Amino acid sequence: MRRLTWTCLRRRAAKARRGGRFSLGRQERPRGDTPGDTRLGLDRVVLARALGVLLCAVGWSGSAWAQACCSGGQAVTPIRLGDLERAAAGFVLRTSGGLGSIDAGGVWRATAAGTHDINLEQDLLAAVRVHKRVQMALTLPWLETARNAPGVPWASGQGLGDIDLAARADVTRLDDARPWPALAVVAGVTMPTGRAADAAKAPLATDVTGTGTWQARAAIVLERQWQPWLLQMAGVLTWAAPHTVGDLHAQQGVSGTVTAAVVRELPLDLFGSVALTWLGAGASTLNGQKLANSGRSQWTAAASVLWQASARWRVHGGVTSQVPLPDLSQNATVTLGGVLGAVYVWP
Amino acid sequence: MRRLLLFLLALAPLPACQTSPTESGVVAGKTVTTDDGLYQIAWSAVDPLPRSGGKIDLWVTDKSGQTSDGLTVEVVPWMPAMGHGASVYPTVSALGQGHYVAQPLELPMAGSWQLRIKLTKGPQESHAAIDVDVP
Ligand SMILES: [Cu+2]
Repeated sequence: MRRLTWTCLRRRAAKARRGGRFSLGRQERPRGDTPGDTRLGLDRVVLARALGVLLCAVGWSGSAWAQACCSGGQAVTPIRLGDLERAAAGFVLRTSGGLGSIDAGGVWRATAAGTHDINLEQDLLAAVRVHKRVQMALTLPWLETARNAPGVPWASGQGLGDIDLAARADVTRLDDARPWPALAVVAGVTMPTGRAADAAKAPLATDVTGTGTWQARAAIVLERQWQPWLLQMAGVLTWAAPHTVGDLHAQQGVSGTVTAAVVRELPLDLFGSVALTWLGAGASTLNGQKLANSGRSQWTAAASVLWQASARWRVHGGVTSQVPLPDLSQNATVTLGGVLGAVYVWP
Repeated sequence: MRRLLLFLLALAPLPACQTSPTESGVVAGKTVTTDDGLYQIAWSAVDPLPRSGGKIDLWVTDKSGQTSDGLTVEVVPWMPAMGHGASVYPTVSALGQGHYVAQPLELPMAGSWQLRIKLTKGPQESHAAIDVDVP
């Protein structure tokens, strides 16, 4: 079944290469198009690329990846196909270092002297179009953490993180929706395949790679293109299932994220983007009782650049950080991080 | 008066043999009352608490202000905002005169933590929570 699917994809890709209709690369664009054809060809080519960088900007910014143990704040879709793309696979390397935290009372606390938090993550990403308007995406994360503290030697741990599966349906597509923004809905589930904080075995809990709970999320995405700009607004609601540790029955509050991202086409096959995400979460409960001051509010900013290296390859890199806004934040971890990734696209 | 003395004792820097001073050497301490109002717990710990190997001193008095011995004391670290605890729970030792010590405190992540305390005497369970911050 799988072989048939990939063979089918290869044939379609070959057909696309011959005809140029579904191509991404400049050298493969249809020549001598009428203006009408250009709207279908060139604009969509540019659009597909711009959406590619969006996956980088939004996926990275929208994630509360600062702590593997924390639920909520998953990316809308970790990998995202443009309108003319049938499948994609990629590899993403992420790294971050802890700078401090904003406590339950909104007070900034820098990381203690002699204490370090270093996080690494490698994600294998895959996306496939299952219908003209529906795509599925899978993320397989592998995480490593290294920590030390005064009087405590460096410790490190690693393991499989929480596997994520998402489906995205384009209710209206960018070309069809004009002058209105295109609307997409996303549903996702994150599986507790990583090691939860309560089950850590390594010193300084460096082997924690997941939340220990199932999470479900629903999102609405609005996109609008004004060449050479592309804007995206996304809202995500995440619900985490309860989990039990000994005689403690805990559940995190429902969390929501709102992301605004802007992508701009640049010279030399480059695209730049900036994104700002706000994450808010309600109070968590323990044995049925709401815990005071357990809500969260966190701001994350990201900037990234994507390079269309060839017709099929995209390379992206970026930086991200939680914005330390003490009065507007609560229970927020503040890190500074970078991302580097490559995605191969089947048109 | 006895309660006040205990509270002041909790706030005062402890002898070197009882505590491991941080760079700042500040000792944090407050008093919490159990949910059922049966006990008061004066506590003391270095501020900020280290991420590993920390300890907390508890002085427990009953409603009449008498020190409470013979209690089973459990201390469970919990991170309310993240909805998880720690995999290592401290061992609690009774030193007499209502004084209990819980160590090691393993609080590996930066942020606000709760030390959830359960006092058990016979069938009676009393609960309290102490808020601490780990930078
Ligand atoms: Cu945590």
